[in-house]
Amino acid sequence: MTPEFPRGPRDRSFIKRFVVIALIVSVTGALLAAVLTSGRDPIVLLNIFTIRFLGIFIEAAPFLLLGAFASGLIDAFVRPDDIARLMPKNPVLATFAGAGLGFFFPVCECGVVPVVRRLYGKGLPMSVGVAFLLAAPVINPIVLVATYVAYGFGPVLIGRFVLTFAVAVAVGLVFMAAARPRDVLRPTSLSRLSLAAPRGGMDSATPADVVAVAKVAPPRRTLKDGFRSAVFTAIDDFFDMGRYLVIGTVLAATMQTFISQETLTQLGSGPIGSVLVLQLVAFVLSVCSTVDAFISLAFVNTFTPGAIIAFLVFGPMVDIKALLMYSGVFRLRVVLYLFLLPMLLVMLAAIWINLNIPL
Amino acid sequence: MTFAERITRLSKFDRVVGIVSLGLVGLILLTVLLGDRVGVLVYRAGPLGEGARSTSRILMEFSEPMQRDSVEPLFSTEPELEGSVSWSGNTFVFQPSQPIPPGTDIRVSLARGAVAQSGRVVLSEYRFDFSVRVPRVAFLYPANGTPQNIWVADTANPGNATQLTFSPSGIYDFAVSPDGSQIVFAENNSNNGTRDLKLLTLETGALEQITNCLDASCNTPVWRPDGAQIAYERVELNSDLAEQGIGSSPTRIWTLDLTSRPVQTRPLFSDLQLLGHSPQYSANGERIAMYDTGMGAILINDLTDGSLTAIPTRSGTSGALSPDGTRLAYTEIVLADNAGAYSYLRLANLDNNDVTNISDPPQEIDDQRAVWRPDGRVMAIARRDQSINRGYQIYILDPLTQEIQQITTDNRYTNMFFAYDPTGRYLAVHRFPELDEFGQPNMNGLPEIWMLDTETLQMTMLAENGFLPRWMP
Repeated sequence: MTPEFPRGPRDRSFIKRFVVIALIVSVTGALLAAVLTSGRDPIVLLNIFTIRFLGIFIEAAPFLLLGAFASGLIDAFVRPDDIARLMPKNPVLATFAGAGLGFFFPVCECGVVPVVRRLYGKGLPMSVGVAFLLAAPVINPIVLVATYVAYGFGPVLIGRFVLTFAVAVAVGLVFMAAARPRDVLRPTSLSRLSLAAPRGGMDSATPADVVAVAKVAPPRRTLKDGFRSAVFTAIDDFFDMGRYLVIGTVLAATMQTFISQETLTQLGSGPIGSVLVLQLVAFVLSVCSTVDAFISLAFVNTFTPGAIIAFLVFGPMVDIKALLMYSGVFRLRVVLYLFLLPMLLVMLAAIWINLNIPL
Repeated sequence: MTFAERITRLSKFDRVVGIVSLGLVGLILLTVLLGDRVGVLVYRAGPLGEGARSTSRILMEFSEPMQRDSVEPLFSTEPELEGSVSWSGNTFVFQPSQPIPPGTDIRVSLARGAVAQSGRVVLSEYRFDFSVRVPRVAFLYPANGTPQNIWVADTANPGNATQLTFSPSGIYDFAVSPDGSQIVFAENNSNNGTRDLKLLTLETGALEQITNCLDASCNTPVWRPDGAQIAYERVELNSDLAEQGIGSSPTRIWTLDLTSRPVQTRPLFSDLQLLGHSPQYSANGERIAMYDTGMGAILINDLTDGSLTAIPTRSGTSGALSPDGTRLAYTEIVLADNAGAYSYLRLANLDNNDVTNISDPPQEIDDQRAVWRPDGRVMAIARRDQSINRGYQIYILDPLTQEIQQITTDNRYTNMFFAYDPTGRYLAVHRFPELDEFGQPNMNGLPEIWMLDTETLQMTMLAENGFLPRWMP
């Protein structure tokens, strides 16, 4: 009888590497098969892919840079006791406040991830971070103006902001009700949290973290030291999250190369089908929330108002590259939840709008 | 591991997310099961209210792409109108085959049941009303001064003309779009002899320069009946070559494509040997005619196949294309016995190139101008019977039977320019009082704009000191 040995960290690391290599080989094989069976010139496909990749990456990278810099500034100048002081003590109210934080941290969906990770490190409750993560790409002044310019003051503008706020708060409340940091965050993110809150009680509910970190607030930095530290932190964060952005962009560009927008838009119409299709389009397109209102104008005469609102709400919350970036902060199953819950909530609201509100 | 064991191994968070997700799926299903309470909507419809033109199209824009066959049987008007249906995206377009008489009240209905491509249905009947307003006449004013601008006179309230343009350098000529919503005009540029075309949208007041004639005179615009294209005259001034003794170019016809922005312009003919002035489209838009001074002939370009027909004439005018584009009425000059000249009318059948005289008057009679009534059955002509008076009077001529009826009789006036309104009942007439009330030559006479009812022969003066009247349907 062969004795069983407990699996150590080396074994797990080997398995992980094996899985990653297997995934890369599988994806590469699938791509090659797709290219060879598509009947199109591989050079043309490569050109399309390159254009799409650069289009998404160049659009997103500056926002990631801004987000990373905001993250650096938070790391340097925001102390855990600031978060504790400014956040409402009532966790429900705090979640609502989290959904409105975008007006103070106006970042795109690429930039919000490092900011949230940094804020978690400063003791931000899970539910507030999730609400901020989902709402900030839309609930901010830049996107407000862009949407106003594209649609004017009307149902689309109102629907986008109200629904985004409601979905972000709803998902945040789900996290508030049951999520503990160890259920939610990746070990690397968790370790930052531990440093910030040595007595925070990681097993307890999230409000405890805030109370605990307030007691261990470090001294404030000088302006010069703070900026220097912020720059270094921003560089670290940019490259740390940048790899997820690159992988996410590769996936999004690949999807766009093989599945054209026209094909997707032909898939469905009507009050239900149009919502599903535009949610899928938003997920695949992975465009930044600052420009998606203008892109969505092309759908106005083809799709229902509910579907347009779904596109404008769901896309900034969850798309391919955002999911990849989420996976740098959250556990994989939580990334799945961050996809599933907004998708279902937006779908419900958009279908209800289509079937019940004449717009 | 059993399913129950797996469930128990899930964290509280996982279970909450699972329950919430299932609840949301249930709510989505419930929402779908409760059904569609909105259906397909009509986003926009028109015309509305009392401002409709006699040539207005009836439009209904749906909220989503429709099964077109399901809409047309459910569409109706009261009183019933005949016309053709077309679609532009989600917009249903009904074009009445005949202009609607001014003052008519129309009720448009779309019964419930029209189906969208998605399967959604128009859940309730949709209705709207409109009235056709009396037509207006635009003209240039003042005839005896500068700058000349476009004014508009309401035929129901003559004498209260309103100024439409305020050009400091003056307007040379203009044309009203077939649907009456826009005016294209040639504006004099400041003191260098050039002119540019500008497009004025009447509802919004938006003004757009659509040519860039830096060293050219661009004028005499005419609309293609679908409103998508404008033909105009263009003369290159060649100012930079003046020292070398090179003058202006001959007049050529250019076109403007209004369907794209910026507006695209190009010569009508790529062959620069083909000249032309006084362009005019047939009412069906399939042919364009112009006079080629080099060839001494009227050129008719069939836009459907690109073929070109030349009809020699010394008149120097491009004649009048019949509304269906198959016939051309034009004048021919004959030298008279007394060394003078007179004109008579000819009719060319463009399908078989037959040319017949439709007036063969004795030398005392001079037929100058022909304008087809919109139904293409008769034409109004300007005739001067020198044995009776010195000015031109308007007659209605049937080209088939050559029956003729004089409809203006005031010998003090000469009637120099006239145009039918879209209904074919009224003529806008540019008249000049050649004689005063005592029958003496009128040295202080000013041109006048009148409206002539061809059924009752009643004439109404719309404006004094104006010229170049154009209907605004």
